[in-house]
Amino acid sequence: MITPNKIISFVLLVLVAGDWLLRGSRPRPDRKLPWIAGFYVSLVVGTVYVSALGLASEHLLFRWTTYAAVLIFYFILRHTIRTVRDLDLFMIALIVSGVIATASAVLLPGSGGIWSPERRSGVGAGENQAAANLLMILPFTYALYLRYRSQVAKALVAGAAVMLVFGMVLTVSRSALLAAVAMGTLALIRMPRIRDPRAILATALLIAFGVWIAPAGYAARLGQLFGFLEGSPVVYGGDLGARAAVYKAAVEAFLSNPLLGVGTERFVSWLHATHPEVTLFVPHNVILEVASQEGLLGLVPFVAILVLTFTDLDRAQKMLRLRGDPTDPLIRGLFLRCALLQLGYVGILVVGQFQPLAFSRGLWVMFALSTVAVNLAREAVRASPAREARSFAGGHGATGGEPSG
Amino acid sequence: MFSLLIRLALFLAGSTMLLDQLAPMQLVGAM
Repeated sequence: MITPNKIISFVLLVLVAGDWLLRGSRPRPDRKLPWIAGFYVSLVVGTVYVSALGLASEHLLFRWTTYAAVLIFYFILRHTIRTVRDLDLFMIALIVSGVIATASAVLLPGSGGIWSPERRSGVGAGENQAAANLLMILPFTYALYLRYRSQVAKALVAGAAVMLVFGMVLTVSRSALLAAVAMGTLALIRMPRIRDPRAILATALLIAFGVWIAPAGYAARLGQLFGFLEGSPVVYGGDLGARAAVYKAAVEAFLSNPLLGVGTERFVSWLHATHPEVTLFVPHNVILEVASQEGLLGLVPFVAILVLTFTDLDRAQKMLRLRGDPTDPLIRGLFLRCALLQLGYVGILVVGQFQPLAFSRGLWVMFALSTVAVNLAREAVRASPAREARSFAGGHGATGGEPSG
Repeated sequence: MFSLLIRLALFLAGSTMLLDQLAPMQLVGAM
């Protein structure tokens, strides 16, 4: 399907290519690059493998448009975002996108209005993926809230944050609820500043708001998680049971050929042939999604990318904390942004443990932004180095978020 | 100028990125 986003992305690609040809640019360091290359080699190998055996799925070509799109977007973001302002601009764009998606879930004909008991995401992709995207961008609203002086701008940002939470609640996504809990925990551990009573009050209000607008049946659906944890057999027989079945099948698919898996985009047909009773057709877990179809050849680089995305965001924070001038607002602001991006990444990563998100644009945006973050941090530290051997950790009252371990 | 265009396109791409199910016909239909 040709969406407005694909059209604009294509225009952007042409512009970026033109810019690159005209101005040229020294390639910036990117630790993930060899692993991304390795991952795509595994996709090519997997495609050749299923094609040579005559087992290629009819969707394979279509899937490659997705594989290409996320890769192209990775490079576009890496090339285009060169300053903190660019980063803010892009994140504001994503937040606008999230707000539109949320509004569409309520306003579009057939959405049933605010009190509809249906799970809804409007035009924002499938419910769980939409929820993951909203969670991913939610933390960044905090940085924008602090950035603007004007009360009107602050109110707009706060309103957008409320809308993102609202959108997440409308999707009634259990994965997203778990992810939100994980993000909250990480924030409490690593960002002591959010223990500020005002921040806690704001969070409590957001949660209360979420509970208030939650569609009927929300608690019951989310309650399945607790039933699952207690081993309640009724709930376990529901779609959580289907998940367990498809996970087991995915492990078998991986073990059937640990090096190459069952082949690119071949899991569904393999599943139909070997496990006709399984009702979920895609492993709802990013690791198993890659392992079952690409084997170790794809899994090793993919896991490396996942890990490096987290550690790059860590590295950027560490660089800013240890080598940047702690009084420079740019250093502080970037530090906070890296911490918030990391929170968002943890959110989408947790959702990815229960959903097939290996090629979701949200995840690949985070891969790109972590590379961008390291480069921005390196440049910021060069432009504004710590004047003495003193740093955030050196006893100043840090305000841009506390150092992390 | 060129970099302004790129930023504009970046903003538009970002602001439609999470609208996965948005087809041009739906836009027309909504209007």
